[in-house]
Amino acid sequence: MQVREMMSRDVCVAHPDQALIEAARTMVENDIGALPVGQDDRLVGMLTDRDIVVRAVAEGRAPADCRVREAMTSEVKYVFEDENADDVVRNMATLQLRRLPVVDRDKRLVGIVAMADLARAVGSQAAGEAIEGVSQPG
Amino acid sequence: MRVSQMMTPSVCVAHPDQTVREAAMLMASHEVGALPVGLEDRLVGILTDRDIVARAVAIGLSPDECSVRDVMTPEVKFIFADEDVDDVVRNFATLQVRRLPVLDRDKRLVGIVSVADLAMAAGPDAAGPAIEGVSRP
Repeated sequence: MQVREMMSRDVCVAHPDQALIEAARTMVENDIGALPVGQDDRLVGMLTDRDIVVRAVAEGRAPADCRVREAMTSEVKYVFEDENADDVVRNMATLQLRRLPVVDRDKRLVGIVAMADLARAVGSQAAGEAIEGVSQPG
Repeated sequence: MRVSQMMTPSVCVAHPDQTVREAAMLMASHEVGALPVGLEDRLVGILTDRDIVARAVAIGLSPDECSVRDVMTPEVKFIFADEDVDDVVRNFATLQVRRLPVLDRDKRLVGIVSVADLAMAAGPDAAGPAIEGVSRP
């Protein structure tokens, strides 16, 4: 099974110059814990609940004055839409990530794949293995 | 297997009157995404990354201006340290949470247990159903 069959296509994207308060609202309204950050059709970062807590809240930044680019993780991990689901399981375990953006071969953002999608698509055993990878220290 | 054998025993605890910024600093330095909130040796809430984003950042509250009490989830689910791991799996699946505080029978906080701990202790076959439960809409 390919990644495109199990990803969500309905992806909310933040802009690096957006205020953090707006990105946080998008995340809350859509009930997502990770938001891809895009600029000119390219993926430039990823913003998670964790990023916001560590890089903005712990630093005392007011949410209206802080830009997405200041809190996001700019080294972005991703998978290609035509990759195999098994590769995604391995990727998520190795990179210790619960969510990965999906890009086409032109590196345009086309979706997002989550552990939840994975569990539904390939069954609980593979999800368990991926989680085990995520849970391993360092 | 008992919960006490697979929980993370040393728990970093926030105080309800701390600022959200202080709690966020604790979460950053201890590399945790959830912090139990304790008052006089009792568990009064739990504070997660998500709580901070949804109840402080998204409504524009400055981290120095709001307290843990304003942002935490006060209704706390927990399990007892002497419960069986099977009960924990069932708890995770039905409560749809990723972490649970662990109390002793005097209701004192003694640890925290996560899906990660569960997977480490019980292996993929046991963790799978719990994850599936959490992921179901």
